Amino acid sequence: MSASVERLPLSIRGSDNYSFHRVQFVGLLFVLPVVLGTLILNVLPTFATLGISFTSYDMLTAPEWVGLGNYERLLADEFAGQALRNTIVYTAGTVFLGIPAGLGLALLVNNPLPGIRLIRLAYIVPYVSSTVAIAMVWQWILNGKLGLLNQFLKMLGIEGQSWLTNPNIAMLSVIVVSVWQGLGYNMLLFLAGLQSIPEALYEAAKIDGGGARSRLWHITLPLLSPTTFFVLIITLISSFQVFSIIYIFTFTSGAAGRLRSLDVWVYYLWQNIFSFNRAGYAAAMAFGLFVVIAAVTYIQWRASKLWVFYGE
Amino acid sequence: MSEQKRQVSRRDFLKIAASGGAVAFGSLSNLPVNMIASAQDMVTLNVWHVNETEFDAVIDAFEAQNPNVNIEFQYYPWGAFFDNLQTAYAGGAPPDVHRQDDDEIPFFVQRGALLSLTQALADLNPDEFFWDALSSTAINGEVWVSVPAMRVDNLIINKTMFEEAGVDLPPLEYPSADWSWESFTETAVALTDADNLVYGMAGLTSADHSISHGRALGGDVISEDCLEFLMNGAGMVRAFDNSAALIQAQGGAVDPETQEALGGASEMFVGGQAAMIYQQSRFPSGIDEVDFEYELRGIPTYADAYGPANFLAIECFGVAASTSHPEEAAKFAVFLMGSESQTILAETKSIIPFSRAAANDIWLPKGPVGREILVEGLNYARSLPFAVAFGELQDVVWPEIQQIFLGQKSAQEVFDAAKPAVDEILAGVGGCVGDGM
Repeated sequence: MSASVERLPLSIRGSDNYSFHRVQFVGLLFVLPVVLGTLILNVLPTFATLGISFTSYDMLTAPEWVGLGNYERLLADEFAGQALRNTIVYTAGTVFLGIPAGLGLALLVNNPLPGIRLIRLAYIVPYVSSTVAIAMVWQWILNGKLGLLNQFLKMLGIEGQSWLTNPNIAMLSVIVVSVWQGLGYNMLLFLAGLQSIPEALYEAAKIDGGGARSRLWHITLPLLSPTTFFVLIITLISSFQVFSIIYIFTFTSGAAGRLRSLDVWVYYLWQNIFSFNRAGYAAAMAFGLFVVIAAVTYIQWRASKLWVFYGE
Repeated sequence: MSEQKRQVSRRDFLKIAASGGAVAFGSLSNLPVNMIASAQDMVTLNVWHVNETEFDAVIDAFEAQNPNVNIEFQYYPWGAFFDNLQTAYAGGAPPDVHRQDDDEIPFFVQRGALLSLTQALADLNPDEFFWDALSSTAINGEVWVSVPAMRVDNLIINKTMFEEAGVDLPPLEYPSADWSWESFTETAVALTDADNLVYGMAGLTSADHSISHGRALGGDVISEDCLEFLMNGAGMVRAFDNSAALIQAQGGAVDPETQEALGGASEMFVGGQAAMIYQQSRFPSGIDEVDFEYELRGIPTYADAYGPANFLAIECFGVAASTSHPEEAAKFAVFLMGSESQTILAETKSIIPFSRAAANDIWLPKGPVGREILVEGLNYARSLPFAVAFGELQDVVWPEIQQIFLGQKSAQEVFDAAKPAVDEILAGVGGCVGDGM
């Protein structure tokens, strides 16, 4: 009998095969809601999306089979290409800015400074705040004529920019806002990772003459690599799926969001469903995104064997 | 009792479930016959709209006249409404009656989603209504929507600001040769104090107004057969460049970004930061609390224009073709245009009632000064083109239009660049849907 069954109360454990199967049945009942939820809310819609992607579907009349037509159109769609490029830029920006920033902040707040809990809490606030509220506040900060940032730069004698209306800068502004919003979450994850590193390792390194940089490079980063890997995967997935912040800037910031340079993949997908009545095409876009995210995640997973250290 | 005996086996569970189901079924089947019958006689209509309260009194009046009909009114905010409506249609459960965007009528009709209201409206006398507005929505001689009210462009002016600045008020006549684009520009600039964030004219950044001016100058958005993009023509280019020039003449303001930072054109007007704004019949919220005098005026015209400019927006209701209660739903749609409903709307609603009597006798006297300009404006007003791919057209062109207003590109540059893509979209749709009235 397995160790796990041995730990069960006698009344449940029983001694015959029938009781063992009953334990399994009870266990299955416990996980059934999650399994059903995943099947109904995740697996079935994925297959439904795949099915719809082979049709022309305007949401008012029955879908018509078009085979690979939507995928062929997707490959030739200039706006989809632009949306993909914008999404890659956004993803690269949030990954390359967000992860080091989160790690750096975690290293800072991992020190026993006075009021450190309050400081940590302050960094979490943007993450738990409404994206709508954050977007509204940042529009005030980044406004080209009346914004706080440009007023501040003016005081320093620096000419301000049209942060949200200049096509060459708008995406950078959105990346900065997103990184700022997600900073607390990344910090929290890295902080948890940092606090799980045994102090004895640092003490041993100190005894061996290891400096701060050496300890960071040879102890902290390797032992944080599982956390870094997790943050990387989560950031990549959420960045590819960015929608809310772009949608809000689009609908509330006058010209800002109507810049092509801010059209990202999921926003263009949403437009195809609800503005252009092309749900079949949007389904192809959605499935394309699913494949891209799955592929990127798989590659990351395989590559993680080269750099993620699980302490084994 | 042992622990094992308290457990419920799968067989027991199935027995209990089956017994419970039988009891529930038995209880329902023993309901008094009269209760079931009355529930069957009662018809519930689901009505969806983007305005939360404006139709409350009309619904109450309809229910009072039709005691067998219960209206379940569902309000959605503007952005969420259309997503929910399309999702409801896709799910096969659309509301019986819903707000219908006028530029989406061809798409819905082409797909057989709307019930024709031609027969239901047959008893109305066109002479008693602003019938042209309704006719403009017709496809293949059939009427697909009911039109309880309409909106046209006009200016709302802060009379106090004009008087304090010593600037002449625009004429009350509409149209007027004395109220040209040039005099409008001079007036707006004279009222601007950009250093203190006070502007002569705000709200220039909506494409609709410039399109109206472009049409008055002989331009258009698309050709009559819905197959060619025309905004790169001289009239439309001139109108958009002029709007951009006026924005720049007011110190580079009020461009879309600045206007949004100041809360939007309506808020600027109510807050005394704009002396004039475009409005489509509806007054800005907060207008009842302002400490200045305001009046209405017509939008400017061009001396060399083909005709005065104006923009028509129609408040439409459509009936889903799949409704289970076509008779009652059509009855409600027609009731919205009937005399009782029109009287209520004229009393409570700020936009123009569809009935001439309600508009002239009840709505106009409620003021303010210049309200008759709105009714006059109906003679010159045109809707945006009703074409199946209009949403896609907007997506290609509208983002770039903002670049014109921001002074980053010229109108000619923007519209020339958009033409190939829009022509391709229009060709893909294959022209207009059917003929008109």
